[in-house]
Amino acid sequence: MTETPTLATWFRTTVETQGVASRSTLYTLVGLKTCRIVIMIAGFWLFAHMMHSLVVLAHAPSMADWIGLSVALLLAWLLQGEANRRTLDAKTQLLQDLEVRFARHLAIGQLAMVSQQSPYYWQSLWLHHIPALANWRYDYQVQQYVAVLAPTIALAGLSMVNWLIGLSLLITLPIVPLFMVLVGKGAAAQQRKHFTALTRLGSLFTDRLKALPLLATYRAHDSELALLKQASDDLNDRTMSVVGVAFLSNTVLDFFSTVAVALVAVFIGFTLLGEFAVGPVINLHHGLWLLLTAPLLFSELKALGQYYHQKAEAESAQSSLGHWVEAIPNEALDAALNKARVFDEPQQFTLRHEQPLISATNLVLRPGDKVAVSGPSGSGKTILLQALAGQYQAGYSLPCRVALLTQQPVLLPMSVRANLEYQQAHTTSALWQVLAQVELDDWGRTLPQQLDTPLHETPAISGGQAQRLALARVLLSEAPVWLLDEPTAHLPTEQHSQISELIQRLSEQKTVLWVSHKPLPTAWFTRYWQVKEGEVTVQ
Amino acid sequence: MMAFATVLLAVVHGLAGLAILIVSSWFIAACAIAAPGFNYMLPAVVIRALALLRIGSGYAHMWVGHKHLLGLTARLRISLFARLHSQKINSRGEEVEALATHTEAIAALWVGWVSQQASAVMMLLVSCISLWWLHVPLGGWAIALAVIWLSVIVILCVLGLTYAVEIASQEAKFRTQSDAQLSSAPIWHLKSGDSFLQALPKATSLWRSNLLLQQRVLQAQWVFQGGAWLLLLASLLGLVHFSTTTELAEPLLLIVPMLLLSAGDWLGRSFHSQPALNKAVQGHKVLNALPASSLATLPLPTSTGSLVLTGFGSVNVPEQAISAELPERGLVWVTGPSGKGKSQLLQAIAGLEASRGSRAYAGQVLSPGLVSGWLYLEQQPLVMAATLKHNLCLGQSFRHTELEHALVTVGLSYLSEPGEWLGPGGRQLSGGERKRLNIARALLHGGPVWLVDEPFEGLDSEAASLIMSVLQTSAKDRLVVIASHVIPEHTRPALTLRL
Repeated sequence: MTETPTLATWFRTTVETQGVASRSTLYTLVGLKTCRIVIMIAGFWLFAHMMHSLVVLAHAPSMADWIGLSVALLLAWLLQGEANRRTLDAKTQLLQDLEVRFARHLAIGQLAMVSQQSPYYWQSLWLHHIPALANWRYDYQVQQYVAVLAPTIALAGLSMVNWLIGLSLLITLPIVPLFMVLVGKGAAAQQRKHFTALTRLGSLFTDRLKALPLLATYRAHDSELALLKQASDDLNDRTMSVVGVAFLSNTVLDFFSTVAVALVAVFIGFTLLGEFAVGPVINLHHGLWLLLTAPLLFSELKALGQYYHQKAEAESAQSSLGHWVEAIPNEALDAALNKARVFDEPQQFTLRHEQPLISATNLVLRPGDKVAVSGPSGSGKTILLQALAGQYQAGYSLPCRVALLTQQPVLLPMSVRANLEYQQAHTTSALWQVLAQVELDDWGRTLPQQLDTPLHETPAISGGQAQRLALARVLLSEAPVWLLDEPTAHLPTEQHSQISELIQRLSEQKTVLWVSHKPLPTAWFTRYWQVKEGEVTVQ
Repeated sequence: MMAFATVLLAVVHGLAGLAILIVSSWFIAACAIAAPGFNYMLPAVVIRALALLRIGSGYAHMWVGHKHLLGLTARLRISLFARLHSQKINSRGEEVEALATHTEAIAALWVGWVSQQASAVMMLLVSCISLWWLHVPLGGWAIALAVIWLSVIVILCVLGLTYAVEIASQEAKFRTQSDAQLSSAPIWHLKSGDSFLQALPKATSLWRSNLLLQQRVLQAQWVFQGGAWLLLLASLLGLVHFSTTTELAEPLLLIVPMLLLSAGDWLGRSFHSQPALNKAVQGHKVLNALPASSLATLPLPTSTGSLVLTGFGSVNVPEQAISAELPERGLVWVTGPSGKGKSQLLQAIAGLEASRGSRAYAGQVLSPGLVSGWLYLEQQPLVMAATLKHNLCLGQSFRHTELEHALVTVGLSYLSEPGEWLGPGGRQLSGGERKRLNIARALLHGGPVWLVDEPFEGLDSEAASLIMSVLQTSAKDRLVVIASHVIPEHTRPALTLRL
């Protein structure tokens, strides 16, 4: 990828596929909002006519006008309500669709995907970025269309009633695209500069909050306070001088809309008085209607400016989400989630993946093999295991279920039973049996509530015990292939040998790939693979 | 002052906009019937003057409002920081990060919410008073409009605040749940099929509450719009049926219908400012309930001596009870598998964490707290957004040669520019560089006790042996306690504590 696509292009190619975020929903919303504006213009006509009767003709407005106005306002009101309702529905639907898509990527990428970023990063995707896309799609994008359609319709109407005012506003109309740019660029620049300044100031501040113990240790609180004051003042002064210019773009729009109304009013008034004799004859009916309709040339543009922050938020969502909201076909998901429970066919395979790099050519793996995987740290051993488990799209993954055992055993903050039954329910006797296999049954019987003791309430569990518990979970998974990623790395030598022996004993019937930096009895293994700079070779 | 200027300018901006519309429509009507002696020049001038007033006050509101926002944000942050003297915040890094947003949200209350509400209130108030003052026909309907606006906005604010509480608690719940779910990613593969997809974090209920708030804001605006138009239709119906010719042909008749017709436009923004109120209230709550704990500071002990721990341990590690005598000078290793609380023990000795048992130094039992001159060098040292010199000096002053010497000693001689900015927007240091910078700082500041947490992790072997020799040299003048799960060869520790 040489250049990042614009937000709209990215959204169209990545998100807008397979019925998600359909264009028709977008156009329906635009249609509803535009209809409302047309109806309002008609309502203004009737309203102006009623005022004309009252003030100029000095008789009560007709009931027909009143009924017409009632119908117009009612329709406009209902359309607005409907547009509100549909906007929220559309946002809800899009959020759901995006969540499903993202979940599918998580389902396939699993550990390989999650470990690329901090939990905070992932949470931000859910909390901020996905909602930002929904808001941008159904507020900002809808308003973009309305901001073009509304002035066009209003101008057409204005020209029909009074060609002179229509013409003079038309002359200012080329300014409208200019406004779009002004609103866009101006607000963008404002947003960016303002944002950068606030972010810097924010990080200056949070940095020192995090460093409170450090500052207390060095007795440096007061000097930092002085620095913070100085930096705030400096940065605020600089920001104001930048922002002062950026605000002008908003003011330009305000200027044109206000001046247009004021000038139209003065022009109409003077024409009514007969001071001006240019253009068509005007009465109060037409004059008031022109006055009410002219602001529509600008009001929707102004509304677009108010949504501008959504665009910036959606752009940051685009860069964070990337391809994680692309559609994944059902077959790929099924294949990843429902794998065979047996491994009985010898495999010969080739792996290719860039970033992270892993490649292997014609490796052979037979059921029951015990493979020692070695290589310097950072060479790609973990990536090899994750690729075989199907967590990277590397052109091949093992055709059966696998059980990965990592350096740090994962213990859920739940009971021993819940930890063991992570995958599926088992009978209590089966659980005790498996605990006995990993030599944890004695420990289990000392627990206050036996299997139902919550793990975080037990006296601190040692690293070795934790890894045994994880091993018990692997045994229960009945996966025919075990992928061991340095399960003893953090254990003292004595425990390393005990647990290694245990693993060897329990995995007699399994196919095992074992990554270890610590010594293991070489006689046990049937194959030796070496990973070097992402390249897997047979030793 | 600035806050009031912000609000005042917003009020002027709003009033000028409304006045243009009203005066313009009245002007057109007055021109249409052109009563004899009608001075048309004055209103025409007034309209143009109002336009200029609106444009000017609009710009000034933005300018003053943002200046106020920036200034208030800075003041809030500085006072919070000052309040936290000799304290520490017991929350995660991300929650501390969020304080920047919270202080900003509190400061934005004036620009974001008060200004909008004040301008709505003033527009209604001024309308009602001037309608009554000028005996404008149908003036009573404006009071009804004000009542509708007030009821809708009050209901919206009350509802909005309850939703905000709900959203905050949902967010906290989502964070805890997803933390647990994400940290179990290494075992996700054990699950299969639908049970797996169900175990993934979901933000649906949080989104639902967020959308519900959006919905209420839109509904409030919609209901108010409906109410205003209903008043308009009712007042017009009255004119259709019950008007007498005497009150007709009066340009002032136009004013109230115009007000009612456009009420949604000039009061609409007051509803959309609701989220700003929520964020400010939420920010206040977070700041007030900030989980900070005090760090008592103890003076520098008058004499140096050995450090005697008796049944000593961090309160965070239940089984920790160390009894040992650490010499006045020399290296002491703390080793043991991870999870045994090596780091916790060091922080407890330093006085950064609460402890059990007793620690005595040079024969004196120390009360809990940070001892002046005892430096805890953390595993992942913080480099603050500031210059290199500032990071090294931390409030004290050192000569240029001293700084240079310290940097050369730890192998950071390439950081030769003391004025260089570190952190975001400047030079980003790697984990290993941060560790070395931290040791350089300790070399400058000295002190009788150093507690060094995992100094070799993330360093290549060359850098690790350099740091080892620096620590060994430093240990000639002081007690250096090193917590590490690897002990480099050829070290001669005075004592090794195995946890």
